[in-house]
Amino acid sequence: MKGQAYGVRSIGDGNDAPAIYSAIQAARQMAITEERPILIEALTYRVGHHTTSDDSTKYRPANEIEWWRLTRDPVARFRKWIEKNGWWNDMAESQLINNLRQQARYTSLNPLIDDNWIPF
Amino acid sequence: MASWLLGRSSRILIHQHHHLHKKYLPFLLGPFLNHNNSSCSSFPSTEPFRCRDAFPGKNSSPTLFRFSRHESTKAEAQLELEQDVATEDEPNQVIDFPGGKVGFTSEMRFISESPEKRVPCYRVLDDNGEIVKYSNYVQVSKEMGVKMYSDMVTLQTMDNIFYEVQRQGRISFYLTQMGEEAVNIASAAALAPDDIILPQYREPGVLLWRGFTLQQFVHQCFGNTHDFGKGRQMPIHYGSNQHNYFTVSSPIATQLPQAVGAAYSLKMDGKSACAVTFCGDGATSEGDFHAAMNFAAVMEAPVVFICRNNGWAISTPVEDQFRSDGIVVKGKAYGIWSIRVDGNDALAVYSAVHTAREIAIKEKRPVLIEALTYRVGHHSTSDDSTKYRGTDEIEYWKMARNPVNRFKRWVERNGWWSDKDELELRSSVRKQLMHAIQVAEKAQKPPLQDLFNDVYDQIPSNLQEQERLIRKTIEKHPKDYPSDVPL
Repeated sequence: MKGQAYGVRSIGDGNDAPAIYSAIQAARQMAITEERPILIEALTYRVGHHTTSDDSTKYRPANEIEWWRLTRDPVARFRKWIEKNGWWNDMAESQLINNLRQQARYTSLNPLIDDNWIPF
Repeated sequence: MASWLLGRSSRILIHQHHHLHKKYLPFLLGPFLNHNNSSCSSFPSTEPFRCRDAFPGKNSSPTLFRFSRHESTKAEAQLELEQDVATEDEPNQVIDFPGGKVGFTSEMRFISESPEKRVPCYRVLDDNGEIVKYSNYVQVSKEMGVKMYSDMVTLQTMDNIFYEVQRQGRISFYLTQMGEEAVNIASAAALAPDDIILPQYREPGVLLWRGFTLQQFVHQCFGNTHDFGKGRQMPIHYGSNQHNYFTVSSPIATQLPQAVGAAYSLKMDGKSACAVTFCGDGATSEGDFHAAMNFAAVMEAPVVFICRNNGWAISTPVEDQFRSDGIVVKGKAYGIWSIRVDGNDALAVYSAVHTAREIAIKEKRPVLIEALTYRVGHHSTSDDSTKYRGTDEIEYWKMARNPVNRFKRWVERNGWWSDKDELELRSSVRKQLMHAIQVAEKAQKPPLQDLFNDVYDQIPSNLQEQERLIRKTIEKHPKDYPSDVPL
């Protein structure tokens, strides 16, 4: 609703990756070809705490958090879709997770090694 | 996609919405019932302030809205603001979102930047000063009507005289209300003395209505020792505690969030009053406008925002100020009830402000009023507006659309006013003003000490030191110090 207050075209979407992809792709096209601004409102939920300095269970119920984390998870939803298309499987999932863990482990063992300002 | 904001306190509001609709429905439908008689109806929708037909040969100005469409994703033009843009696939398919329940749609539809049909403009009096048929409005008594008209004439006379006085170099600056007299006086008439006013600068009519004397207006413009402001601000920056009129300050839109705070305070104190704040169309582009609107809605503050959309912000026309359908649509973005009125129609302004005030106080919520009008005069004495707009446009609004003349026709038709009354009033006001100017010009300027007083409640030592230093300098160079400013 705020878009119209400024004379800006708008649309809303959220935890649906293809919907977001489609909306942004179309918005980008309009913005460039028509030289106008576009507003997209992505409805979603902050599952984690605000930051490590915040304990969000102090001001919102745990069951609300769990509901969004389990039932509305955008990653799980998208996985179901690509699996249904035959583009993904459990094996690929395991390989990806292992690969990422190794990269994370490697990075943590060598802190700041690529920072240019540290003379060697 | 539409969303309905729900919070704990808002649940009550939902119920109140239904109740309120029933009670105020006849009034709120007014603008739509009178759409065909809207003062905007004679203009193409894309040019609310310029009419090509009325000014043949004039260079065409850029249209306010572009309606080009991208083929693959056509933005649906809304037929009216209240249209529900969500298309639900299945009855039970909703997202139970912290911001409320929202229906899903599988259609990728962008909400247009502006509705095809603009928000209509509420009107009661046509240009001939006759009540529009089937018009729904708050009645005005003879006493009220005559006072309203008299104050509009007084404002006009003040403007004519003060403008000339500035041209003669007797005051440093002036800013007229020409063309906006109805917004000034009719708004004030619809309010109560306890309502707190936070003006921009083109609303001295509200202060006039509340009893600020002509002499006091003159004292402020001359910056003499009788000025409540002690000569510290440039002319037209009026203020009065006694009349609940916050002192004007130059920075645009700063008074808007302040008004929200004042309104919240009134609510906490349980007062049967609201804050009323004014701004121009240009002020809606300031960040403080955004802050004010959002705070007002979220804090449920009893504040009435009155925006004088006069088409110009100095030399900037509205099409370079925003691309929305004016200001009225901005209210919805913040969850604020809004209405658009003919700012040159004193009865429409009176009715809208009267009702908005009632809503604000009883429902403890903000209301936004966009008064469409035209700045007939230059922006200020520092401006020559013929440099950026045609004189025929100015003349059109000055003659054919004059708010004072329109209201005069109505009070005359009621038998409340005559030519004799008119002559007596104009002559009387002119004499009073001339006398007030003579008194003000002879009065002393504020003393030097007033430059240091009131920075804080008490004068701190560093300011005392500065005052001592300047006095020492004056002793050394007495001829350089102005003779009419007491030491």
